Amino acid sequence: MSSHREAPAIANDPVADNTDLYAFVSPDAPDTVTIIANYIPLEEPAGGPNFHQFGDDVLYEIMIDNDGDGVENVTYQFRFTTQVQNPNTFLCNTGPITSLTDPAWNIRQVYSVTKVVGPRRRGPATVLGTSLACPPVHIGPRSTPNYAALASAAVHTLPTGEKVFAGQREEAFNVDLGSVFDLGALRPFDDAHLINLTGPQTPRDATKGYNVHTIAIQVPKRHLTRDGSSPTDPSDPKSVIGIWASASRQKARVLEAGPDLVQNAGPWVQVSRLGNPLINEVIIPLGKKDFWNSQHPKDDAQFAQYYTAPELQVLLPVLYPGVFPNLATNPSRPDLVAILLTGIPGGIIGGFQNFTGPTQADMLRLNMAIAPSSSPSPFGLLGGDLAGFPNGRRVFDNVVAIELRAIAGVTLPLVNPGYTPDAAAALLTDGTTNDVAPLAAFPYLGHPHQGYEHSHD
Amino acid sequence: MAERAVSRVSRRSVLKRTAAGVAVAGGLATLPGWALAATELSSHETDSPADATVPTPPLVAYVRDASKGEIALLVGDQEIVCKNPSLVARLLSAVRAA
Repeated sequence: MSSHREAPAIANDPVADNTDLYAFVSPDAPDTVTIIANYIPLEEPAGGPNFHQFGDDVLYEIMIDNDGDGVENVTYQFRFTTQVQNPNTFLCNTGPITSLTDPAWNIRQVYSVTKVVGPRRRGPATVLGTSLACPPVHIGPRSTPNYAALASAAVHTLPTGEKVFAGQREEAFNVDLGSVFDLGALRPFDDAHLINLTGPQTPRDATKGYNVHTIAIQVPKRHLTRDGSSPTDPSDPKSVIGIWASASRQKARVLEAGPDLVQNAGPWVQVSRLGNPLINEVIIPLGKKDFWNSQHPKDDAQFAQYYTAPELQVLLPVLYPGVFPNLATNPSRPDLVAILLTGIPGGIIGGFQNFTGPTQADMLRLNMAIAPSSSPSPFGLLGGDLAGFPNGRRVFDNVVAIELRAIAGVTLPLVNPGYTPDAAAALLTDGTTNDVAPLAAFPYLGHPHQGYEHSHD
Repeated sequence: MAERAVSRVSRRSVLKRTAAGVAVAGGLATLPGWALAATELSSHETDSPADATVPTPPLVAYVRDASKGEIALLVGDQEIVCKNPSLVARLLSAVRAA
């Protein structure tokens, strides 16, 4: 949940809350790109009687920009429909669910996938699939005894070659939320904090044992490039795409006591978006967070000031006195603008670029010509792994540590050779790891925790 | 265990009636003439009786800019903005009188 409950309005609308976005060259199918958009933060597995599901009244979208202007060239839209087989019972299922068509499964969701070419509200749209089944949520050993088989059956291949999955998955993001938002504390360094607690504490992953709802799509690379070619040259601008995800609701909502309690009307209004991790979470100030969620990446230059002078850069030397003397000089941060708003141009890091052009836009930037790493580092580019974040984002990339270290100054020498990062900058981490390994195949995120037995400790 | 019913109930049944492009187009054609025009209308045209044929609900109307007499109509996934200062004035009067 690199973006969860991060803005006042979306904190009250979990079904439309983008929590994470991943994009990477598929390791087991390197002629394709996998894009994963997660929603519903801190999803408790024991969620009955009405288990968590996508919003029937939400428009979920994944956008791809392949010409660097911050405007989508390809959009995949997902709309969900809940189907209740028997409204005369309170039960989600009346027996073990052994298949996606099992009559014992009462509350189901199906979805459609539509592809729009060009601007998402004006471009020609093609429906790629309808009535695609979501898997049930992982209830427990009695209700969903062979969950892996149910999830596998919910992977659909579309006639145009994309592979899609939409349903519950294990939360792959790990972070010590309790400590980080307790005045910016990192438990491994508790003894250096301004408000010193008794010695270093054991890190606690606040997302352990929780689930998310995932929309995953695996797309042939040639469907995403601006000219339909398959990218092979990492230095070619056409090899780089920008990706972001969003959720939108209709402009008006009418509540009327009666059989149709909720009715919606009007055009779609974006209420959540996500490109790079942790941006609206810790870069954008409180007074702009709801507004940021409503905006389009092509207009993100209006937020550049928060990248060139991030608040966290000012806070770290205060919260950890004497640890960040160089950072305390509060240098301007064109490196963060490059990494997060334009991509890194060629010539700065050997063999790498993910530059989309001068338009400042918050997008995950993936160089599709860089092959998956045979020895991946969770620290991505900072760990010498060209296939890792900020080159797209893989499920296991430790974006908390990467962005903490970047904001603490580790990346500034890339554009300002005269700056020397503080020694502590390269050590920053919240100390957590995910205890569930990702899957080796699509949709890559682990099977969800079951409601009957799970632990958050 | 509960008996298995054959019928399906879709929570989107209401949205389906309003979101289909054809339905919206048909609904729009039955709106009163003043709602389709984007120009300011004279008061006598705005006083014409309500058209008996209305689009499939919900149709939501709100005063978008009282100073300009603008009313926005939301139906399906569309938004239609029209000007009707006379109607806006009557709406505001009703609010003040409430």
